[in-house]
Amino acid sequence: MGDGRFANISATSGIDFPDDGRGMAAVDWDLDGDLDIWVTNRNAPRARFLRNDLEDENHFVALRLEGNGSSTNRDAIGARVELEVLDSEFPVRQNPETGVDEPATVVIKTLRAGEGFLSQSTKWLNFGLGRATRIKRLTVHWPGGTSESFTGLSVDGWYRIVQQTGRAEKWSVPDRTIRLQPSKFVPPVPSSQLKTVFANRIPLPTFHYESFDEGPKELAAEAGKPTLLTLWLSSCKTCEAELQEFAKYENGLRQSGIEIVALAVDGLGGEEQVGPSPAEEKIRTLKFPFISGKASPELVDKLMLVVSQLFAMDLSPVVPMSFLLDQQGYLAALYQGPVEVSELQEDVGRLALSGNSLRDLATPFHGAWMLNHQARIPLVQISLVMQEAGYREDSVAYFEKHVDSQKGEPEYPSLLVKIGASLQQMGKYSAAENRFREAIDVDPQLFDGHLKLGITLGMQEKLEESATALRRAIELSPEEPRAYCYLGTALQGLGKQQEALQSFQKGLDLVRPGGDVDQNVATAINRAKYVLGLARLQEGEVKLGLELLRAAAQWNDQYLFAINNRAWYLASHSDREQRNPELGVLLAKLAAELTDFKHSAVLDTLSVAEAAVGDFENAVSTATRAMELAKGKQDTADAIQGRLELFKQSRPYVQQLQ
Amino acid sequence: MCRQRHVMCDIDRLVYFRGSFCDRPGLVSSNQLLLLAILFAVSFTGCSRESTEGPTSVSRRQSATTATTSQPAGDAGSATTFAGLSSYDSSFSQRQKAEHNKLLDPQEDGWDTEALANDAQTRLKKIGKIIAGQNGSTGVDIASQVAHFLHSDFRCGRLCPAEYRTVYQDQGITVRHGVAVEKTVPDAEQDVFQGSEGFGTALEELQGDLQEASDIRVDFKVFRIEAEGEEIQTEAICDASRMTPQGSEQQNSIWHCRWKPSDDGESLLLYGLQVKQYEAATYVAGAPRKMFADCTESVFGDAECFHRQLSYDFEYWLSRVEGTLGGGRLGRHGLAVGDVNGDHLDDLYLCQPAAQPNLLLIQNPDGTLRDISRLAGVDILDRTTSGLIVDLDNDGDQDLASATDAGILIMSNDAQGRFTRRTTLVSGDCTSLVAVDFDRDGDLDLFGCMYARSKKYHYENRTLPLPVPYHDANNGSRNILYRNDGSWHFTDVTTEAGLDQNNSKFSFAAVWEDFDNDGDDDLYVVNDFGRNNFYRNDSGQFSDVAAQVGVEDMSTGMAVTVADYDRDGWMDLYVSNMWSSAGNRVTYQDRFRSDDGQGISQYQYLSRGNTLFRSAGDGTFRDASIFANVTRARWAWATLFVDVNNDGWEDLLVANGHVTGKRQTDL
Repeated sequence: MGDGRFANISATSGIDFPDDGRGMAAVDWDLDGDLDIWVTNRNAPRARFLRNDLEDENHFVALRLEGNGSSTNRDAIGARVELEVLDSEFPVRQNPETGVDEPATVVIKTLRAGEGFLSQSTKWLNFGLGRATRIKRLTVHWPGGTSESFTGLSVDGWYRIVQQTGRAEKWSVPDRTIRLQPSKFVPPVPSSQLKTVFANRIPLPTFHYESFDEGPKELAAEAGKPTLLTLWLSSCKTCEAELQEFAKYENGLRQSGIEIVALAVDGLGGEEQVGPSPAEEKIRTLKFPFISGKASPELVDKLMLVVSQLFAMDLSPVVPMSFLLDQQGYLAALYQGPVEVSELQEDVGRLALSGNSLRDLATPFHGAWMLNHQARIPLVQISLVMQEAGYREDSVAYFEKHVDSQKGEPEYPSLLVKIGASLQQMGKYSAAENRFREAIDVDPQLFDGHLKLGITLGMQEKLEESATALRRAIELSPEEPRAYCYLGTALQGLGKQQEALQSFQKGLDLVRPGGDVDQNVATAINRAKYVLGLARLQEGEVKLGLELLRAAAQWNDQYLFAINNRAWYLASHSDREQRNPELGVLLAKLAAELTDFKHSAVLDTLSVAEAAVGDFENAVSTATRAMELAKGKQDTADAIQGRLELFKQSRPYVQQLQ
Repeated sequence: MCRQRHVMCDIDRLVYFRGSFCDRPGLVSSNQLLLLAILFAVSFTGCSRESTEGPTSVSRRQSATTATTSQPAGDAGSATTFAGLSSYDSSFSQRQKAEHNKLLDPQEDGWDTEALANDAQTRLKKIGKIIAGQNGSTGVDIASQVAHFLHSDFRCGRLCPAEYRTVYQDQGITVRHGVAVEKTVPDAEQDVFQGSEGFGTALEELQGDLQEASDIRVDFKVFRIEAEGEEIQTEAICDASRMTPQGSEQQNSIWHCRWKPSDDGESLLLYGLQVKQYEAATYVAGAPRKMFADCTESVFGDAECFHRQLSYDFEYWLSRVEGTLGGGRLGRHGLAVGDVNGDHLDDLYLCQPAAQPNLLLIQNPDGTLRDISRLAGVDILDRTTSGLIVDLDNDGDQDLASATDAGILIMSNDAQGRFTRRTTLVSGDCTSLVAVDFDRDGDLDLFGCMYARSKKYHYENRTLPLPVPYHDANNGSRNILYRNDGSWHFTDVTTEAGLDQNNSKFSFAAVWEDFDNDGDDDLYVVNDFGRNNFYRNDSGQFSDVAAQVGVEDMSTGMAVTVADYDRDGWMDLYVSNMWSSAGNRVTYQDRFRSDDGQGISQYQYLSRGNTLFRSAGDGTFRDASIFANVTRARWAWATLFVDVNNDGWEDLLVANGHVTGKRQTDL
């Protein structure tokens, strides 16, 4: 505003569109003396032209520079231009610090190639002159070091200045009629038929559906034929019309070698219907000559999950929606909306394409790719995304089937580890072990591989080997607490109690307070807390021990169960050597406190422990409370009742083991 | 030792004792136990953290299984113990997501003020609608519409300034600032409007003469919130605009609101209100018109590329084109303007996402465009972020450099606008390209800003593919200076020129300029997630002096523009960043400040928005952003100094918006 400040006039100016603006370039497009604006957007229209319609009497001068091509580049990029006006009408400058007006008759500009964001503006330099009407002098500092001055320029003109010609040559705007009209852009409604041909064909996981004719079936490319899988809904008219078309052109389709599997998605997640469904009736009425049946929610879920991996966004299912599978059962095209029979036949005819020509087909426009097509089949993501969604078996099966194609990929070893983890989860320990070993064969530095191998070996009770793998993991990542905690577990199993406790302690020490949200670390750490808590209690460090145990139990119920069990064991064991009633009371109290004295089984334990230390008075009242809580669970109540009778006779309860 | 060993090893047998926990004391075979344990895990939810958390039935099943297999309950080295633990490892990503979502929810994260801010925002939006007259409101109607969220003791002063000061006037544009409206403390005497009727009257006055206005928009954005006892104070930006018979008009102000909870504590009631920093701009054109007219459709005319390609947004193409062909979701594609066919009219080069051809559009004599992309040989389908139209071989025509997934393509022009690929420069994730003759040998050299490192790099080096640390990331890609050696040879001279200093940032944009008026070109590089670089050129050798000259601008740099906006003969810098209302709300609260004394101003800076650096005339810069009032431009991308009204003073244009969806989020 002339005083170093700015006002927000975006709305008044007419540039405030709800666009996600990106690039911006200024240019006097219509050569009317003011600068117009081009912007690029993420949303539509992805380019916008904003014509400057400002009505005012301000003057300007525009310059186009040309370097000599030897000391200065021809475009004269980097040239600094100083323009000095004579007129006192030229606005003064208010010093922002002193507030004092100062003469500011010189304007400087630099000619640049590239400014703002991803953008380049015009090479014309436009000087706004306000009301000034006379230009005193123009000086060009060419990037080669020489300078030239020009006089005699008039306002509201365009000049071309060629280096070393000594002249600023007036350029006359071409005689032309500008035909530009403002209008409000309304984005077009996208077609209801969206086809995507894939340059990267992915194999689909195995799908099952309920055939109307044959019951449960596995979906495979039918006997090596290209297959169109169509999802449809009985209440959808477009779907019905599409199926009618398929039926009508059955012969042509069969001649093209195409099989169609039409699966109804009626009532997914809804109530089971009794009798033939409307979808089935429609199929019968249509005399639909191809395979038909009912899709399961799982099929649709998995299909969308897998297909979405080919896009940079999650797709939502629509009806009708069709998937063209090639002879190998690999996904070749996706049709969102109805499929035309002729188009389908054409697409099937092109199934043999591959490489660059297949990519050209997959590209919706003509044009030239610079890079050769490199197959990027996201099998890894597909395996992982299925795993995340809980389809662990599918994920593993999918992986096992296609693993060979992934060898050499940078993600391959970590994929092996993830699949191994799935196998382990499914109880297939030795298969998991093999995958982990394979992963560390490919990448011996893979911490996760050694860690998981250690865990899997531990699960197979190969404790020595487990400890070795975990030690290797620790070598690779000495600051990672998890490996220490698992190593503690293994050492415990090997009977190396002191070493185990040290390892647990080391793991705990490595956890930064408040820093971690990682569940894996938390799992291992809490386990360490539990084991260490018990050990500290045994050593007589009651406060620390209980604190550790409480932390573990609060994190995961399994430790609450364990504390209760341990209390029971210590309080009721028939072997005196095994019994430690005092500790039992401590643990039982902790468990009771953690369950708010509201769990019958926990209170049962507490009463047994209290009796075991001779505190029969409390044992009786605790057992009575446990009885009340066990109402409705006859067996439990009976058992507690039996013990209660003992306590009343001041006798402890001792568990008889074979 | 032996006894301990026994204790620890015997833990397996604890399983059997579990009987007491499973409501069936005594010995139970392990098979039975498994079954019971499942029931137990599902039904025993009182203190369970594991079994209730799963977001889907699937994961709930998993956690039940987890509890089952882990029955031996976390003791010594039995197989099942390991199983129980490792199951968490593989269900990690699901959980991690849930945790992450929790972290994103400010209410969960302890920032309950975010929920209150949201309430206040909703209320203000409603008031905005009333001001815009969307409900056909007059004074009485307004009173009835606002009554339910006004506190019974509500009072406020006038919402329009009693007095204006004209701060800028040109033929078309007038900018006025309110004078009397600003007051530091609420003043009961001035608060003449009371209750809902009073508020109605105040709003009516603010509405002004709505009858003749059209296209009215009122938008609020809460950017400060502070709780004091039960009173909540918010500050919100109010941006309003409308078309008038004479032109267009806009008002920007800050609404300082005081709220109190309703009796039931369920909602916020407006208790006091004060309008500050009132600024009004009008444009008089003699007709309802704005300064800029959107001539997009007519400039493209029938060009198929507009109707088939540019008319559809990014989301459309993402759902239509295989993502594995390359690309990304953020839509970072720029443009270049230049005369490629030598007719002295500027033409347009639009950079496009993968699988869509770049577009070279020639300006017709009538100002419209024709698409010659294919004929010109520039219909490149590889993702292209930016391009430069420059004469690279000094033959007098305009050549083309394009930053693509295939590298930086260098193409020569045959003077008619047909291009031939001459070379391809190896590049990283190139964003902006800028050219200058840095070594003064008479030809143009190129500088490419590079953003993230490749996925492959991160795999091979076991590094995180995320900016680390977020506010000062140093794991981005390396920018490259390509020296033009003639005959279409370009050499990477980044290192020898001294530009490898602090050269692992996430760079978005750069600009060449002789900032210190010593006759050579200095380079300013704008980086996302951290400090910017100011490479001062000392006889062809560069050194990063950003901190020294005061232009580090440690923020989320997006773009940069340069001009001598104060006309003192020294070039100034304007850097676009993200202005975040949420960031402002959180980082300015006392509570946030009390957490960590040192870094606070940095956090506040991160959400402050754009920065204007005024040259001090000695090679250093001063931050003039606040004085100039140019920080708040939302999530800004491109910015340019343009003297739009030719008055001799540079104006600023900022393109903004990240990924705007149907929901109004902070982006």
